Amino acid sequence: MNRPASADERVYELLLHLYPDRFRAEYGAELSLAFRDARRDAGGADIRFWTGIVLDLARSAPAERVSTLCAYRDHLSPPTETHMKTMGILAVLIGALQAVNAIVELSAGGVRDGALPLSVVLLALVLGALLLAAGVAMLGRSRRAAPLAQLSAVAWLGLVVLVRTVHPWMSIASTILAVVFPLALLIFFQLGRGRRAAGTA
Amino acid sequence: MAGREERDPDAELPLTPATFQILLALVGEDRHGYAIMREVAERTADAVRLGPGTLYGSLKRLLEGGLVEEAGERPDEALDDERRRYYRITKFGYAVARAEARRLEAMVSEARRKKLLRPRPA
Repeated sequence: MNRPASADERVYELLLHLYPDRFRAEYGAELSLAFRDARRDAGGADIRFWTGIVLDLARSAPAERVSTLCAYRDHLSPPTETHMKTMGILAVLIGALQAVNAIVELSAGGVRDGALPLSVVLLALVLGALLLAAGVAMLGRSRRAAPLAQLSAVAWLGLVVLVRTVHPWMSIASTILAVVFPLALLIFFQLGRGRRAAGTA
Repeated sequence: MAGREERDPDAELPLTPATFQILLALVGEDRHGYAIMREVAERTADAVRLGPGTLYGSLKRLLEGGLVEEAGERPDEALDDERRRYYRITKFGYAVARAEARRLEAMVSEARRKKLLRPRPA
């Protein structure tokens, strides 16, 4: 019953790469068959037919990608006590470093010289202290650790956006401390939440 | 899967329109993917047209949720493409479809009560 694929079918098979590999491996052949049948019943692949196909791809391919990512997240190892301690120690160190850095900036006259607005430096000082507090809560296994750490991470990311608007240059070290670590914190607690949700489902 | 029959159909509600249409298409007959697409389009007078991606994404979730299963046998192997798979609604899928139909019926009754819809003439 198999026959050579038409040009339309070959284009559709290329577009199927928008779906995750596993989905394509499981349903790719049937998707192609459904496309072939729909094309035959539509009397050919005109603009209207292709518009429907592209809209269907635009709706379903991102949904399958998200579904695959969620499934992948649920199969990752849950954060262990050791991971929590490591993240806690890093949060304490980075929080303290950021707070000290803000104090140094204040005393060194960076604010007076107009390099950074006072509000930004004070905010960095507060957020450094917040990150430090989150790290202490993580080390002490407090129930407030997760909300504190996530609040601190989001606030740090917001501060980076603010700083970049008034002070475009940012060193690699600052970027790692102020962007990568907050992102890592958010992912860390999301993983924990995903595992708990999967465990209770 | 043991215990699937004990699951509460209402816990699956509300269904997406695509999911409900697929379950309706499978009530009473095993169908392959394109036959489901065609049945839905015909039954709704083309008001609902499922694309292949939407169809198989929904079927994947229905299979994972135990609402649909692969049918073991094919109606006519000689006339059919061997790559086609046929799908069958499970008992649980039937219960979920019925629960969704009741939910929609209750909503329509409410719309009638509020005079959004007039009762159909006998």
